[in-house]
Amino acid sequence: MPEHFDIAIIGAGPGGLGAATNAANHKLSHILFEKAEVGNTIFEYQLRKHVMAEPGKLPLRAHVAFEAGTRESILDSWNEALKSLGVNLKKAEVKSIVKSEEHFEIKFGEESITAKNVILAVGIQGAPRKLGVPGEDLPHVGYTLRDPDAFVDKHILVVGAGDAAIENAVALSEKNIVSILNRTEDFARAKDGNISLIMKAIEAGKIRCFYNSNMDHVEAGKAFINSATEGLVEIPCDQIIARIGAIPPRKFLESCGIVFPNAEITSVPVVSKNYESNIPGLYLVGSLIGYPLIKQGINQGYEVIEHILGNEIEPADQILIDEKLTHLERPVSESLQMISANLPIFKDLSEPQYRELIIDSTVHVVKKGQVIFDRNDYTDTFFNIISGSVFIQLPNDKTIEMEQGTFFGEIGLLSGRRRTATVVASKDGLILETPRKQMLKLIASVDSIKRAIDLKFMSNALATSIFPDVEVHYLADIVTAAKTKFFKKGEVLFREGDPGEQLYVIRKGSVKISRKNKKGIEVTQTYLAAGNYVGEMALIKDEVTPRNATVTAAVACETIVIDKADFRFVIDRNLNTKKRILSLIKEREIENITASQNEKVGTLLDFMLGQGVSDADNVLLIDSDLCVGCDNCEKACAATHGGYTRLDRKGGKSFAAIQIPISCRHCENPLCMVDCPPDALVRRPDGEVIIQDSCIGCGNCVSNCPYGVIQMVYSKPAEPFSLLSLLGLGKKDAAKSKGPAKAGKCDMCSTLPGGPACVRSCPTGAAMRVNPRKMLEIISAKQGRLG
Amino acid sequence: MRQETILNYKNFLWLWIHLGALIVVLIIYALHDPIGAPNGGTWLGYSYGIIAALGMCVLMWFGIRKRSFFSSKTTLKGALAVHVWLGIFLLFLVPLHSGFSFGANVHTLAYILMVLAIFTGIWGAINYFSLAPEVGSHRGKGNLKELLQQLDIISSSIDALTIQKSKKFIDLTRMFDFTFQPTLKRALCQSMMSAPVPRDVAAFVSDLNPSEKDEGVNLIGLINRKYELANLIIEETRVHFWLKLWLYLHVPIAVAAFAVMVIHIISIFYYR
Repeated sequence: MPEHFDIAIIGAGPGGLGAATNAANHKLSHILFEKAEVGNTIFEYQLRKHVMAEPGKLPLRAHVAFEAGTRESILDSWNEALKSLGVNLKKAEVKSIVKSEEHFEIKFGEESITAKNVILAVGIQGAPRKLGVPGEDLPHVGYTLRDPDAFVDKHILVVGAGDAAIENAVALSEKNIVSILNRTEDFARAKDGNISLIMKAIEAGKIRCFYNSNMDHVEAGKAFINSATEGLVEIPCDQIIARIGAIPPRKFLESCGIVFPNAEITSVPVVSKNYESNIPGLYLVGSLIGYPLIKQGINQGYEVIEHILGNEIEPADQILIDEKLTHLERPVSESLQMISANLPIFKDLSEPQYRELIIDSTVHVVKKGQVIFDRNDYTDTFFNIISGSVFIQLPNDKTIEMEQGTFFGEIGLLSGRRRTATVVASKDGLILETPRKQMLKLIASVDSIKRAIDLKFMSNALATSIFPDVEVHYLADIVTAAKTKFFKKGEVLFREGDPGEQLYVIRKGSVKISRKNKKGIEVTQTYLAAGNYVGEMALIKDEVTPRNATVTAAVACETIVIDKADFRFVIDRNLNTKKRILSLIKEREIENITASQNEKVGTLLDFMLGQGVSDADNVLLIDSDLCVGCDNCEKACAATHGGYTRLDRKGGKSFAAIQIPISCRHCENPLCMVDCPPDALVRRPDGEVIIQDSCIGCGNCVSNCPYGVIQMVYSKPAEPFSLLSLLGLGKKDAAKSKGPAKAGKCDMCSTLPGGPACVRSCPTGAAMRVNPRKMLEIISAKQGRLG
Repeated sequence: MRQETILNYKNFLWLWIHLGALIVVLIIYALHDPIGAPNGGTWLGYSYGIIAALGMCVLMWFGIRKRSFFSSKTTLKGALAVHVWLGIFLLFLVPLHSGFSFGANVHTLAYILMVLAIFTGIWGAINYFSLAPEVGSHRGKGNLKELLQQLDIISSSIDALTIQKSKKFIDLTRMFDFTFQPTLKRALCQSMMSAPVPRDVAAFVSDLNPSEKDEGVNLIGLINRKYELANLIIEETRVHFWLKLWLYLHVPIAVAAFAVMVIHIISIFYYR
């Protein structure tokens, strides 16, 4: 007969600790399962890493302490709390959870227990993928690397070809004999910066790389590799570090019977206001349900126990909700109800989702005539009209009035581009403004929100791009039939000569257009940014027409695809519309550039597109014909940014006398913003992407940036200017740095009145900051250099 | 698009200003009829002296501006444009200030030092414009450190190839391989090194044992790359040397000129 508990908690991370310590405090019969270490995510951090406690205002409700500090101090205090409260900790990996009539049966290893309630707090990191070969469980096979300095003069094999594998291999190669095992023939999955690091190390003979190879088996002190070129190879090996990704916890959750709203990777299961899942008695807390911060996890674990005990308590975040809604001058509960009643788009939200929406959003009290945002502002938030109404003023002098219960701002939200219209309040009222990140999370997990925004976005995109002046109801059919299609960077939308059957409206990202010249060489002609469309000629003619150019995604793209049949069905019924569209298409000029059929100009354009210039708001370029290498740009950057330069002049790539240093491009769709737990990365209305002080130093943005422009930096006081420093005799105390490392990147010197210090400090005028339009001018100026 | 440089900054704004000023001072000088020969002691001499001294202060201010990274009122490019054209203007103004009277004294020393500082500056400007397009590392050819690393790798690969090879192979290596010690003297004095002519090499390679032929071809490829790298290193060192050298002369001479100018100004108060 298996042992029975009131509460089984799975995962000793923040959520699990919050629950377990509260259960122990109430002297409930409980068990806490952990397959690795207590606080494992933090345990895996590098030694002495500083951990932040955000959001500062959220109170901590728990019997376990947590405040910002080093990795060690936090882990110590957690382990101490477990011991002093007598938490029943079981080090074992849970294999399955099965609900029967009266309880849950939890299997781990060969054993099992039963429990009345289960709290799942396993986080989203998932279990590291194992080698899957004999010997994978030997003690010298590891899946993480905390401290590369712990290894000296060892034979080490790193398995994997991603960023983590490369970073580990390179760090270890300083003091050890390192090999890296790559299943494929290159390191294409990794960031550019890491690719060049590993290639340099391999070329210099510091790391031996086995390409197109697989692990055969592992023995003590040895590893056996199936190499594509050399067959079975035996190498001496004291340590294996496998960085081959993780198995997301979704599969495990689904095996327990938990339902996800859709197949999106980022979607999270729906829970009740008490964090109960679709299976009664099974609770989910923490990052599993979209709350990545430590404090939130601890509080939720605590609250679940209180709920199980029947003590209904106010959620810990009530104080944050109160703060958001007090200015409405009515009881907070009433405001909450009114907002949800007036905004049908949010009707399918669960209570925790709705509360989080309100905490992250701002309710604006607007007066008639007040401007909500201006056309060309670089903001990306999403707006809902709780009461009152607004005028959308389009660039063609058309004005549309939008009423209570509708939303606007979805173009900026989805495309990351500047605002396409000015919005002004037409009546007094209340407007809910929600940050992009929160909306993207909701779009990924709530289907009805995704559908509503998609439909509106598509009809707007079609109306402003290919069908201006066409009545909206004609578009409705096309919109419902249209599909969204994603393209990775470098993926081809269609090739020259292919039969043309579809039109693509670029919703996000940009594409490059190339044609074969007389010699048969593919020459890049131009690029098109989001909001434009490609392939329209194919839809106009009756017969199937071959494509006259190849279109490739310059960065990751999202497109709206319209089939010829759907398109023709609509316009053939409306002869006037057809005529109008035909003449429009003839007149239409693509955002034209002077790129001729000159291969070299095409190569230069290609180089710049490859460097993300087309998707950039503002790129630092250096005219190599003028640069004398004085590095005053770097000095200026360091002096104005706490002692650390945010640009690496020598590090960037260069081509035809144009150098693109390693420096932020302020992308239109910044990948750095994608995974920032405290939302510290924001785009200012002028377009700059900046990191706010709320950065917790997690380093996600550093690994997400494809151009390697973000670094972890310590704040260091700028050296004061003095006559001594002029002569190079100033005091040097560079070692004095304070506080934890935070992410640092170019902020376009937005706090300085004169603009970017790098450009202002270039004595020869070689450094310039440009947008994609300027890029084309530079290309034509440099044409002479191309020969 | 034409990239704006320090010379054509704002359509040669500072050139035109200084050219205008030069014409004005020349006309006044021509009209001026002092008692005795024109010299620094006349009212015009004093006036031009004061303008020149202020000009020197502006020139020296550039050293401060270059390091004031928070400055928002001027760009460094603009400041350098003023610096260049003002310096050239002073070259003409100071002789007018002295009425072309020179001698073996501290006053003339101040002028000589100023002229030297200005000429080193002009030389530097010429270097900047002529050498910047030749910096290989700005064009993706790798910086000096990377080039040296690559050279090391190639050299050790060549060494590795010659292990346990026939005498003919070793002879081939001796014939075409070379040792390259990058030194500044070498970079400045030696012209580019030329790789062996393919025709000469072909005869030697075809003479090798059949089993070593492939490696012989490899070897020649490596040696050719080594020549290429050596030349890049020579070129890169040379360019950077001339890009930097002038500044090591310009700054101390300018500081000295300023100091002697101060002595010159103080000394004239003791004249009777």
